[in-house]
Amino acid sequence: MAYRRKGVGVGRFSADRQLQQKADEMKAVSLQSAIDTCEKLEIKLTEFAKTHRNDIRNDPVFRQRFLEMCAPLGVDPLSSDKSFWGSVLGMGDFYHELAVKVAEVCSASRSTNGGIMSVKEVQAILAKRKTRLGTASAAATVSASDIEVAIKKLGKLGGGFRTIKVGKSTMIVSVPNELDGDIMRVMAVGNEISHGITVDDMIVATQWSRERVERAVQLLLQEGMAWLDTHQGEDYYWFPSSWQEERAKLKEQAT
Amino acid sequence: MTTTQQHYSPFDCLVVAEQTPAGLLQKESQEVEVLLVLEIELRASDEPLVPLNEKHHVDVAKSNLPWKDRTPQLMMQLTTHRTVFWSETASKQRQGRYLHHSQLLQLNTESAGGLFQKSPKLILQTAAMGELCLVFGAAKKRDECFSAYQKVVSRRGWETPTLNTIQTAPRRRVGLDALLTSDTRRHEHAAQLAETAFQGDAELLLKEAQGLVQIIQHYVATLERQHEFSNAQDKETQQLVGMLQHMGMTSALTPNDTQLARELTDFVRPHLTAQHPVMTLTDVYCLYNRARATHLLSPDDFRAAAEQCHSLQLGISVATLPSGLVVLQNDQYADPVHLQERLTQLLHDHALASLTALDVSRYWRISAVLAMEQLKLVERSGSWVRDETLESLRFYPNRYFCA
Repeated sequence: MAYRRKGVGVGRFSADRQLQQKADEMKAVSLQSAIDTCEKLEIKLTEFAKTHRNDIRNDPVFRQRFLEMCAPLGVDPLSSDKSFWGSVLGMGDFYHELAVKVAEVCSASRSTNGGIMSVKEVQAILAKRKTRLGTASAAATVSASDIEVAIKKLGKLGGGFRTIKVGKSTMIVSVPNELDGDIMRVMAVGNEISHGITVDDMIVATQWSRERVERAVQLLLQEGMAWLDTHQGEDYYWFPSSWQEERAKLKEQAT
Repeated sequence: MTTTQQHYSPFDCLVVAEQTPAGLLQKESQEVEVLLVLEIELRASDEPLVPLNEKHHVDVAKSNLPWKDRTPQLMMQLTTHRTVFWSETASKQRQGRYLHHSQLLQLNTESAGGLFQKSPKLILQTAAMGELCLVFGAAKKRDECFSAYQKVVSRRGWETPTLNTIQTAPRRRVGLDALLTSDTRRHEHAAQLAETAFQGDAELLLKEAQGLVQIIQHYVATLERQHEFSNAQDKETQQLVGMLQHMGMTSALTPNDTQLARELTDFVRPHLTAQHPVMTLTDVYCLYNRARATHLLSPDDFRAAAEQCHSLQLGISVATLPSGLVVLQNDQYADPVHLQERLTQLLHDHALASLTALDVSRYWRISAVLAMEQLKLVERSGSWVRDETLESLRFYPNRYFCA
């Protein structure tokens, strides 16, 4: 059987040097094309951002949809205040100041609620203070989504800040402790009732054994997320995060 | 002067600038930073100038060395009072020297290009040092610097402090009806705008942008696989990296801002004392942003800056505790033995037999989360033990502990 002594196609050439040259040329062309593409994208985003800058700053609905629009593009407008977004939109200051305020509110109430409080409650406290955030106008409101975005950013500082769903409510956790499924379920039951609840009530609601309910309740007591009230020989457990949320909801309905 | 210095240059002839403990410029009263240029070359005329030492006297040792008319790779910081040049050694030690703006007589630009491909320059005529030349990498940067200089020189901020009177817009009194109507109209307009914008502009933008973004992300992924991003040496790759950072597409890109790390250190060091050497990163972030008031830092930038403090040997560092809590600590007092001694002292000072996290939080004025972490830390070393009750979690010194 005959074999070719020389290769065919690219294999004919003395390999490495020419291939490397070709690879470098192709890389240079791709690199330039990526740079050109970045410039085009920046122009388009700038046009959009400049047109809607004030709306992004002042309207929470518009702001949320803008962030939702950026997510599939892989763009994080809040990653740095020195970025394109910081200079064109100035929305960094809004979220960064909101993050500071949320952290302060959570820190101040930690001794009461053990480091868990509802987004609604935080929103009510901030609305009561009527403070102006960043370059937004005084009339700009802070929505629950804004608070959740700020919490997500705060999480990068390793303080344990995160949001969790407890029943129907979204809660902010500001301590690094892990909350297992049992604790979350007991808190959800507490949130639904929003007054003192006994172990027997929890057993009926969760269909668990007494030991399992008592373990979850003990953990919540130790973390300070639940309070114990002994009334006429009966132990009632109260969840400060849920009754504060209820108060905030009632106030909102009244206004 | 280092023993390896073989010549002296225009940088050695400027006045030495005072620095903060973190290596930043110690600013004069009312002095404000205006512009920062990361890389610049300083040139002087051929005629040798007189080198100065830290005490602003003639540096005799340097004056015996040969003269070189240029100093490359300097960082330039333009303030309202001075132009400060920074030189950094391989061991991250910085030296700053400055030219005061009261010395400036004239300022001109020199165009780039031409037959010999000259770099863009700014020519400074000074009273004491004659003609100095600032050489930039790009004309855009030179022009930005020139306009900053024009503003600074025209204001002459180093001569008299300026008082800015804040003019408040007169408050218009409006009736309740007008307020309610305008509020309703605003909400209606916003709702309408949100709908039309996102049916019109945003959809169009998404359609156009998605295709572009896919191309960029494909290229970024290729480079990351080839580990080229972290080792980017060539100018075009660096340009692309910079553009992606600028637009917030920063998957594997880390900013390198030593200036911010030093500012942070200067700010937080007085708070990290021997009595309270540790703070949570979140608390420091809140304090720092409160102090800044405007142009707040993002958590990403803040964390990146904090993590650089250790490598810059600034005396503070970021530590992650076993629970995941991230803290900023003073390296001098980060020793666990120091913590044990402080807790024992706390017991004696307040005649207590045991401590809870709330006790430590109250007496040391730290967050309860951090207090609990400190108690758990000494418990892990074996020098303290816990007693869990329904009332609380208490920590006692371990009388059987032998170090």
